[in-house]
Order: sequence, then structure tokens, then C-alpha cells
Amino acid sequence: MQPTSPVPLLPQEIIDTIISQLHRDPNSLINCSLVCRSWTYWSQVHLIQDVVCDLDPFQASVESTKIKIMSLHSCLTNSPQLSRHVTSFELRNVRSLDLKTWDDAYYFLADILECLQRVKRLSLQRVDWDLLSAELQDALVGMLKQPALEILDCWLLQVRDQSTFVELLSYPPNLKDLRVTGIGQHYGPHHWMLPVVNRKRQLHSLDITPWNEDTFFTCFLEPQWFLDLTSLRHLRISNTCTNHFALHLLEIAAPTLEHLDLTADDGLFFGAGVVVDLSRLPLLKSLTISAGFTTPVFTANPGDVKHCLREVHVRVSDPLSTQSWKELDELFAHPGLSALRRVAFHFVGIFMDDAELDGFLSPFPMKRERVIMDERLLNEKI
Amino acid sequence: MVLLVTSDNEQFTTEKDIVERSVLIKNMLEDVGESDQPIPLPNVSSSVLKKVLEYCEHHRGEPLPTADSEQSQDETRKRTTDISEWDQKFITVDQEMLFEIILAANYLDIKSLLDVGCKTVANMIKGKTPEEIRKLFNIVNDFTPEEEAQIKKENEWAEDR
Repeated sequence: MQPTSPVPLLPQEIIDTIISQLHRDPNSLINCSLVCRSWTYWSQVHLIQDVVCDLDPFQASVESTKIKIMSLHSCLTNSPQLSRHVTSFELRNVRSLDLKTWDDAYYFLADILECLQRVKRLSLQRVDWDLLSAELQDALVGMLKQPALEILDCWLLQVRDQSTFVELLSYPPNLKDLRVTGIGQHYGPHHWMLPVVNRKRQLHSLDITPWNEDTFFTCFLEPQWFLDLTSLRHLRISNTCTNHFALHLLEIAAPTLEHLDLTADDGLFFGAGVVVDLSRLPLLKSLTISAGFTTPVFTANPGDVKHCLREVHVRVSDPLSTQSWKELDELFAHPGLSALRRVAFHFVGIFMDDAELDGFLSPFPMKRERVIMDERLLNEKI
Repeated sequence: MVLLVTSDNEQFTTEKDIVERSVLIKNMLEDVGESDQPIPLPNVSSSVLKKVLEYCEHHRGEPLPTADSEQSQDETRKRTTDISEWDQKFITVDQEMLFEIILAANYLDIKSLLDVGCKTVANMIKGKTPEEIRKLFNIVNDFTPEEEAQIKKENEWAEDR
């Protein structure tokens, strides 16, 4: 790499940082990989880190999707050194009943999965497990069993029955982070048996959005359950349709939790909601709540405990909803919560002008930063 | 107060809590203790240090990244090339100055400023062809035609269809 003018030459480590900023921009990464030899390595690493195979015919035509899968297959088999950089694999939209259409693609996909030995995150989005070919199921189970796999993300996964789901969860020997949003099953009733595992998997992060399937997840509350929840640092339960499930998990995980997110959309929950006693969550740093569903309280006497809570995010779908803002304000002013620095309100589907926002925020103490945030940010991990 | 001396021998007097955004200077101050001794910055010119101090002053009082927050910040950095409005205005400088600021942020170990600089350059790369990027960075194409063809073949799977 030779400079041709006096513009300062950036060292390679800075060039690598710049390239890493283009992580989600494949076209730019492709162009960067063709700049010069020293740019190729990191550009290709970032390009191949997160592999997504989307079989949705509305995203791209079946033919172009197949070509993409075959090109990836050819890339990984001809340049095997690249396969070790794949750390995340996403399989999306395997729901078509037209199995013949995807027959050859499934063959190549299974082969691709076998090349990937260092995947840390596996995501199955809108995947119907029973529609996968036997060899693709085997290849995915092979990936689930790899020691490198730490994060499993299931979004609208469709399974034959609860036992298939329980079995899939039992495979990863080093699972740390589990995210399940919605689940579907072909056959009821709920029936499952605990698979034999040699040791419990100690989860650090659990993120569940059950929607109307709370009972599906009761396996998590089974005393012999193989996922150990007593060391959870991050717990997110969203749109649980009853409060029992959330309360049970909270009870198990309370002593170690650092980040808690308990939210529900209006109309998607029944009953009294969830009362969260902050004094029972000694390590909690951030709390995300839904106005009207989650009620934080602090039962410790002033002066007894200095809580380490730093951030509260409040999801508001109706500024005049059942949540008593005065009570919330009093809670935030509790002397034990003096570490609290930020209260952010996330408005969901509400528009307010500046005067209305000022009016909404006026009861809250000025000494802390109060911000209005975009709802989308709520979905980011805090 | 802290006295800083640049590569072109200019002296800058600034407050400790402003300049401690630089991990390098913070560590130097801790090493020398209470002292009036000037801190030499042989890799930073006066025009660049002026800009760096402007940045540090604006972000004065903001929490410094801790080891605890570093991992999640790394993830966030990966996800976005967004830059705040003030930072964007601050970093709107000519390319030479931009690269000098990045080099100074790297030398002085000011993570957030390095981040802003790298994001700005990443945004400049977007939409450019390999040849245009070479021109931007003054790089000579050192690929053989065979090597270039091989990389293009390896990248085929990621191309838009």
C-alpha cells in the first residue's frame, strides 16, 4: 500500500476499525475487499460473519435464492479458511409446503451447515421444523451440538409438539443466551419428557415473548429443567398473557438479575399485571416496564439499602393509562434509588406536541435526565 | 490546570477533567502526580489538538466508557454508523484534518472520538467503487488479475440479486 499524496496514512488497525463500521453493508464490504490486499481480510471477515439464508419467495425469487445458496456453498468449499469466520447463521422462512422446489437447496444448505464449526449464534426465524429435510434437520442438530454455540434465537418456530422444542433446547452444551418469540405446534396437547443431559446449562440471558402460549413454556419452571436460570443477568419477558409465568421466572432469577424487561402490549395480557419489588433485585441496573402492566415498588426503608438501579425505561401506549404517574414519580424519588440517572419514556403509537410532552414530563424530578425515546430503541438490548 | 505541549511547540493550558477524556493523558497525570510539568504530545500538532480539546470540552462530564460497558458498546458500534448532530458538525472538516483527528484520537486513546472519526470515514466509503476508495485513501491496487478474480468469486454469494 503506497501513498501517492501527503494525506496522512492511516495504520492498518484503524482501517480495520473503519471496515468494521460497515458490518451491515455487504455492498460496501465487497468493494472494500477489492481495494488492496491488506483490506481484503477484514472486509471478507465482516462480510461472512453473519450469514442469512432467507427462503421467502417474496424477498427474492426462488431461482436467485438458490443461486445465492449455491454460491455460498462454492465459496465455503473452495475457500475453507473463510468458514471459520462465520459466527452467526440465520435460517429464515422455511414454511413452504412445496418441498420439491427447495429439494436441491436443502442439500446445499445441509452441506454449508456442516462446513461451519464456529457458529456462536443460530437463529431460526419462521422455520417449520417438520418441513425441513432429514439431512437439513441433522445438520442443524449438528450445529446445535457444537461447543461454540452460545446463542439460540427462535422467532415463530413451528414444531410438531412441545417435546421437539424441549429436545432442541437440550442440544447446545454451552448455551448462554436463549431468545424465543412466539412458538407454534402442530399437535396438542402439551406433552414432553425431560431429555437426559449430562449437566445443566447455565443461562446468562433469557428473552421470551410467549404471546398466547404461556403454557408452552411451563417446562422452564420444572425443578429438573436442564436450563439453569439461577445465574441469569438479563431477563426479558414480553407479552406474557398471564402474570404467573413472569412472576415465577422472576422469583428464580431475582438475586442475579442486572437487566429486567417486563413489557406487554395493551390487550395482550389479563389479570393484575406484575409487581416488581426492586429491593428483591439487589444487582438490577436497568429496568424496562410497560405502563399499566408492570408496577415497580421498593419496599426497603429509606436508608436501609442503596440500590444500584441506573436506568428505567417506561413503555407508554396511553399517557392517561392506568399507571399512576404520581406514584411512579414518588418511587423514583426514593432515597434508596439515588443511583437512578435516567428515566426514558418510549411512546408506542402516540404523537404529542412539545407542550404536551412538557406537561407529561413535568411531574418527574428535574435532577435526573428525562428523555423521550423512539419505540424502536426499546427492542435493543440495554 | 494541565499544560500540554504540541509537536510544533505550542502550549495549551486546559482543565484536568476536560483532558482526562484521553486515557493516555489521564495515565500520565496519575504517573507524575501533582506537578506543574508540561506534558509533551510529540504526535499531535497545535491545529489538531485545538480540535481535540474542543471535542473533549463539549463532552465534559459525560461518563467515560468502562470495561463493563465496552462489550455492549462494541455491539452497538457494529450496528450503526449514526453520529450525533453536534459530533457530525464538529467532524465536518477537510479530509486531511479528519485523518489527523483520527490519528490523534488513536494516539491519545480517546475511544469516543476515534469512533466518530471512523464512522465518518465509513460513511464516506459507502457507495464508492474500489477505485474511488483507493483514491480517497491514496492506495495503489496491488492485486494480480487472478487474485482479483478469486476475491470476486468468493464474494458472489453476498451480491444483491
